[in-house]
Amino acid sequence: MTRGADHDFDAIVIGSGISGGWAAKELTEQGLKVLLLERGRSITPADYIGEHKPAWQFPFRQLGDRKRYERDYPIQSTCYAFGEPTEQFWIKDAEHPYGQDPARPFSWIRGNHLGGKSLMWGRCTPRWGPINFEENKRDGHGIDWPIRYDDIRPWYDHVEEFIGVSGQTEYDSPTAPVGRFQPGMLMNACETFVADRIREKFPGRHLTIAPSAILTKELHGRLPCHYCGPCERGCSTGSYFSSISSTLPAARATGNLTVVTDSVVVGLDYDPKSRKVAGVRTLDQNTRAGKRYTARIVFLNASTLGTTQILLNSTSETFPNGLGNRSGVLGHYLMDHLYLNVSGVIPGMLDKYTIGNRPAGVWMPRNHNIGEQNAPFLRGFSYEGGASRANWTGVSVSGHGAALKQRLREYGPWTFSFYPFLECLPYRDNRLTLDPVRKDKLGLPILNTRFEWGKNERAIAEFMFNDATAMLKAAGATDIVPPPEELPAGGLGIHEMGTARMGRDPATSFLNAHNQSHEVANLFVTDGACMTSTAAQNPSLTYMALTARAANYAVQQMKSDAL
Amino acid sequence: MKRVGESLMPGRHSLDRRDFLQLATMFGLSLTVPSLAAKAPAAPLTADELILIGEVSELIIPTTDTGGALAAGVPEFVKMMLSDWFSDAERKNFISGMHEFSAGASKKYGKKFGELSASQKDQYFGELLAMAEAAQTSTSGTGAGAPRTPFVVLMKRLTIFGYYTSELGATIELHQQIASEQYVPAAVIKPGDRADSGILSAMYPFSAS
Repeated sequence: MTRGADHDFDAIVIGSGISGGWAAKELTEQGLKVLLLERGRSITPADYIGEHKPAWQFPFRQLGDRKRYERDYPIQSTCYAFGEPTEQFWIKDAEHPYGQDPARPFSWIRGNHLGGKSLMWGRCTPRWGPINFEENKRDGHGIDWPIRYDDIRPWYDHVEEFIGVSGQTEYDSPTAPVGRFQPGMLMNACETFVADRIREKFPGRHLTIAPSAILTKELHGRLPCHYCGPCERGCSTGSYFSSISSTLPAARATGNLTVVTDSVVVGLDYDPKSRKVAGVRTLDQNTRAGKRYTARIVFLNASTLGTTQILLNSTSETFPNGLGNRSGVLGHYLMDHLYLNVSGVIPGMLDKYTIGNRPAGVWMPRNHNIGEQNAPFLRGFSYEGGASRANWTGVSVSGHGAALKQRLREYGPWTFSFYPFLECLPYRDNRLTLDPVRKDKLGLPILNTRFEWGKNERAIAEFMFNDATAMLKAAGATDIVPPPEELPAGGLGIHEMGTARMGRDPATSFLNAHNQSHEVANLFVTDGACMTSTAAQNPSLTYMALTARAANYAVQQMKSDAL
Repeated sequence: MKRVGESLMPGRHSLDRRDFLQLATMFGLSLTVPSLAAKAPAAPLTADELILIGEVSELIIPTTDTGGALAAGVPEFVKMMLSDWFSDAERKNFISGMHEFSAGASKKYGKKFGELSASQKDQYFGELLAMAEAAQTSTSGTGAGAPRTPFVVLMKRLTIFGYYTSELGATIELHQQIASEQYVPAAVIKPGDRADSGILSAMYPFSAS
């Protein structure tokens, strides 16, 4: 396949995170000359400056520079993984403004650098099951997915084998099918105890180690996990999947990859004659130098909000409301998982502890409304979780002196925490728009957000607390801590999805079954923006599988000259 | 802490902003220069106050078969937190609490805290801490209203955090293994084993209010 003399590259991939890295890998391995544009700085493993660093080597001993955070990172610092060892992986809010509806705020967590959020992600990678692609049609909330599980299943296989997913293979859940897994990590004494009590009291429920994109066996030169724990600091042995450890090295190895960092995409030019993207306009984030690149196809992987911002800012006579936005759905149906926490103290097992910091959690797939409607809400929720023994950070001991010191020398009790992810229905009014006036430092219109949880999410949250409490009590838990009464802002699940959704009908969706724009033939969107529903599973594995599938479809189309 | 006098020693060619402010405070100058006032360093602790902080921290985590708060450098940690981490209102609450603590000792024993016997210091601090912990007067985490956590409670929080995140506290008093290579899910605790010192969350929820 040769690119025409009129194109700089065969393909341009915008964004180098979880899905962009996959687009670059698949397209370069199929022989395409690919330009990968990243708006942030370059990253190599030498940038993992927090890795293995003990607390006393940080100026604030891991408390972080609070005043600087309040000034520069008021939103990013609300992310659970943000802290003194990791702050270099988040954008400064002060330098990257966006709009929040005061009554309906959305927290936009961002990492603008090579690899994007794949460096700091949570690594839990359950598949979606058949039911998750069917429920929109069944209950009428949202439009029908244009694909089914069987369409994506081989691509899940393909992705899991390449990135390395460790997980259990004994229980094949309808909402988390077993995949091509490396051996799972082990559950600790308390987690095993809790799992056994739940199985006794709630037949059919399975608490297992979570499928996680962390190696337990060497893979492509990446080493198995060494159990230091906080993956979000970066991993010099490449043991968890990131673009830096996995897809970008593979793409580079083909000799077909060109990476340009610090390159912010301003917009895509549309050619009404060919009905294609004719060029990608960029600004260097430091020098502000402008450039324009051309290619036969464009993959947009700039993150859910970033992708939609670019599309909304790509206007033309044909598409005055954003590139390819004939349907008017672009920017609408923003979704996230409602992410909560319920924990309790589990008595006993005081002679047991764990050696090593296991970076995979435990996981319980969705249990409700499968096959029959048996709970007072639509869809459902899954649980992540884990147990650990408290140390000085987790116990409150009264008094002072030698007795206090002796008490803090010993482990405290086991605490088991559930971290449920609740499915979020698509609502048209949860949306992104470009601000008509305000601009960022590069002169680009800032993105405005508006997001609120609906009745169904609130109903699931209430039900979930009782459900989690019942399971904790089955294991004898005391001191049960409920989630906060006020639901957290949208965005803090960091599973933002939708706003350029897939569908069958060009009148109600932005993308077709191959993540291709209904209107602009050479434009593909395969990051979270493409999602038509959220399910209750972590979405990144699905982004990767959809990306690989779309990339291979695009190459086929190019080979047959349909593109 | 750096004393004002040191900045005037030979070899120092200029006053830094902190020195200037300390001098200004010493001479009762009002600080009206906005660029200076905006970056005003935290109310610095006097040498005597730093000694008080050290003595209190050592009461909380004393030297036993391992070093205590002083050996772990807790006073320097407290000083850093006061000047660089606490908000103005939190610092004010801490400093006024510290002054009340000192005044209370003088009133009760007719002597300065530093001049009390070891058992008197322990008793005085212990009673105040017990009262504060029983009353649960802490407003930590609420973020509502002016900070009013008692000095003794703030000192306990600061001492515990500063001690167990020091190299001494984290690796000698407690156990630290950065990367174990293997995961042992149900290891058996043997007599004398010490808890792992690791901070489990990326950002520890420390409250000074």
